[in-house]
Amino acid sequence: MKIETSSYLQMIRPKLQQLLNELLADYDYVSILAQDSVSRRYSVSKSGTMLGADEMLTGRGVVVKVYDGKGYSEYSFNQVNEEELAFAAKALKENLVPLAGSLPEGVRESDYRILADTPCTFHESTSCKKHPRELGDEAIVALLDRISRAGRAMDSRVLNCGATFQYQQYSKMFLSRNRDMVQDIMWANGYISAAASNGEKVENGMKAFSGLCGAELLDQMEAGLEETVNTALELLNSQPMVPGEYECICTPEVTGMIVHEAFGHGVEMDMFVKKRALAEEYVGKYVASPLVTMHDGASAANESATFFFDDEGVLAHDTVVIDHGILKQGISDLQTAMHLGTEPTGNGRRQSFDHKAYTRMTNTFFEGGTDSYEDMVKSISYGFQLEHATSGMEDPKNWGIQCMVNIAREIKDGAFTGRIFSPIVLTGYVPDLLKSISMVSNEVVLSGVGFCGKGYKEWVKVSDGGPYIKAKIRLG
Amino acid sequence: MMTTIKEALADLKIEVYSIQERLSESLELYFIRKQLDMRRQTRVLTCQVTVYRDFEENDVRYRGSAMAVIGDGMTGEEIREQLASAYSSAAFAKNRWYPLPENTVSGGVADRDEELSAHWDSQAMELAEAAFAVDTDERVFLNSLEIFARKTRVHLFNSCGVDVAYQTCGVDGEFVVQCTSPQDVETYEDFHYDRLDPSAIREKIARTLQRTRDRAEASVSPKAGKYRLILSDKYVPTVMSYFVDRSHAAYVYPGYSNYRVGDDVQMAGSEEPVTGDRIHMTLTATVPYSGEGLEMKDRVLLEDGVLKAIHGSSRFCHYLGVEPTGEYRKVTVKPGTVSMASMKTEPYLHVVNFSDFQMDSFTGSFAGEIRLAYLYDGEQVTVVTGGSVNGNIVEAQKQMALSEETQDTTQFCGPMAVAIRKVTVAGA
Repeated sequence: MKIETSSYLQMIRPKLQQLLNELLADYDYVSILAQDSVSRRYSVSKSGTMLGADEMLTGRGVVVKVYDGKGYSEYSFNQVNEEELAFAAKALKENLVPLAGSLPEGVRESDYRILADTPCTFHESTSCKKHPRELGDEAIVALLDRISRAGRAMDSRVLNCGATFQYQQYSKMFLSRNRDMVQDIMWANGYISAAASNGEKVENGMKAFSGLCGAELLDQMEAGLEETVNTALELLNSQPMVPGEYECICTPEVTGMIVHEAFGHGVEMDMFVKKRALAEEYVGKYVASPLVTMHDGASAANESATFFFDDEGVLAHDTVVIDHGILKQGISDLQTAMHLGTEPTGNGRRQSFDHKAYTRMTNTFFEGGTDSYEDMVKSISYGFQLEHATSGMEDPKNWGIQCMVNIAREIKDGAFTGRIFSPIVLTGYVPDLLKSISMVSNEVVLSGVGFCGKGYKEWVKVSDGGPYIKAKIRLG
Repeated sequence: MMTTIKEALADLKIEVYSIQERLSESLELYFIRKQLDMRRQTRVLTCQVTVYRDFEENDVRYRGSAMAVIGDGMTGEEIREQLASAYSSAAFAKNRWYPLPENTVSGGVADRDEELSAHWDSQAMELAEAAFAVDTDERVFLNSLEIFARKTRVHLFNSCGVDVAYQTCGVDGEFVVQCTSPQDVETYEDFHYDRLDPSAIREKIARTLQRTRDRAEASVSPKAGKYRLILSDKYVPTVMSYFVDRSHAAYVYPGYSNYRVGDDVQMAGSEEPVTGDRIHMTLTATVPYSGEGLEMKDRVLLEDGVLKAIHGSSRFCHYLGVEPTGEYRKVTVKPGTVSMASMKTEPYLHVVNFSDFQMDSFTGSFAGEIRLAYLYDGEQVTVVTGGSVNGNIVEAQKQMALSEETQDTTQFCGPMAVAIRKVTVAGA
């Protein structure tokens, strides 16, 4: 079924159109993005049952952007009535635009051209097989409760087992002098987590599920329970890693973390504008093994970060970032592309209507290769399979890697030994790791359960992934 | 909006509920080098309503709850639909009964700094002036700066007699310092102030400029091995967050933490004596009321390493049979007796910048990739970069030395530095 559109956005459309027209009398470029988002999160564990709206993912609001002949100002608000609309226009004209005149000594306003505003009108929606609202709270909680109880009963060392389901349905409307666009999207996420203790330490296992879908995602979840609990139990017997460089196989989830954290942030081209990304100097050069082709784009895959237009009204793209090892181009928001003289790639994204748009990743992944996973394991004389990505941090300036995984599974003479090591820090230089990729499996898996920050804020939904890859990686 | 919601709740005969209304305003300035790249202003009203549903099964009392977000522009009918839906959902949240905070009335909007509230937005440009005043070097400079001046008014109301309101102001943001030679490197920092202190931001930026200058000179990595690790500035509160998390009711109730009031948690069940500084930690109130409407006050958490309180919200505290405290955002730790200069009289690795530093409060593991560190081998100090730290607080907590020098931010007041022996470092 198609995701229904927001009647609220249609209701406020005439008022926003009126504000747009009023501002266009004073400014050459004006755009308005309005959003209406609803979400629901269900979580069951030994600690209890929680359900309700997710504050970060629920809300209605509007952001207005104006060009004053030199720079851009934005005003965000969520009370769409006569008084607040008048206040918005006044704030832009009398407060924000004049701020350029009171800058500290030696500081001036950036000098931008006017944004392109080519005509475009459309209304698109994603679809789902089963809307969570129709399935109902009782059925969703009952399934999560069954998973949670079964997990807790699996082993006496299990302290807790939680099951969570979450979805967001949002509509966005973009209006400018020449654009009138509406989109309606739904994504869903699920998680199973298990905590186990042997009396000395507590360890965690987690398995995640995601999709551009609705409640049909729940059908996949129970199958992941045993693996989740086993991971937590296995970790109780883990050993600390002996630091060194090893041959490693990365699971698709860990590949995704490397794609996203280690490389993806470095090709966000607002970092090129700030001269904060080494990648700018490597466009057209080899940065990875010829086995590597990397994509980013809201239309590159059907996952949690799929949409039809970005938060600046640019249509979704499928950008080939690395083509057989050669860095082809980065990704950009509208203002960044104008600054650099490139085409925008539909990556201008906001955490919400009340946040600034930055260049952000969407669905980011490596293409699959031709190797079988079994051959990859057999090819390792001594090394590890890296599993369960936990966190990563970008370093666009120096391409340093900091990624953490929860499990390194030992491989000796082409076979798993049964020993595991944890926690693991991956370090090194990004191109060294990417150029060392010597085998790539033929299966590609994306996961869209995460939210990506710009530094430590500005959270947006992303997906990432790829195939199993074999590479040389420094572990600590 | 509060009135409309209360009327809808009465119509629906929903008797137990809590409402949190928040009006947030901000003025935001975004600079790239010495150019204003974007300015923004926001004014957003949000309203969260939690409805509770009490029921009994087999003589056990339960209190289910569900939260609804009420948006502006919702008609009376839409609001009733949202609340009715949440009330229906609450029936499926079968949680053991617990009481809500009761009978607290503020009698007006509590405001700790009325003078600041009157001109909260001017802090943005004042901070910009202070920041750019120290940005005078062509080789090492502010690459980018984001400033957010904020004012927030919160009104909490529940059906058990809570009706309180307060207002807060602040200015926060982040900056990146770049040094172009001999290597092109950068340092990221963030800042948070309740009230702008121009000298504090100037000092912070000046310190970051110097460290970035040092990093540009760093060309070697520490060799793999065990080091006496010194962590300072924002990494000290990250280390201390282990104790705050482990004593939280939401950790204790499911068994993730075995902390009990009266336990010497710094000993962690070991018989070996504590050789480092004993930890004294206080949970520090930064707002007059918690999100549930509990009156917040400073509380001693650790005294000589002995746990004095479990803290958290009403539900988990009630389940554990302890007094609910509300959620704290700041801790105060008593400084140590060793100066940072004394800490540095024997070999050390002082990491002043990680790409990211993570503490896992489940396991006690902490780790991070080193962006800048000062390595003293007993003879000379070398600036190093690369490699990673991988340690565990459970092993380290008995021998940690805290500095007598202190730091004070919106989230932490306490020692500027902590020294930990025998921490594993993987070379680059």
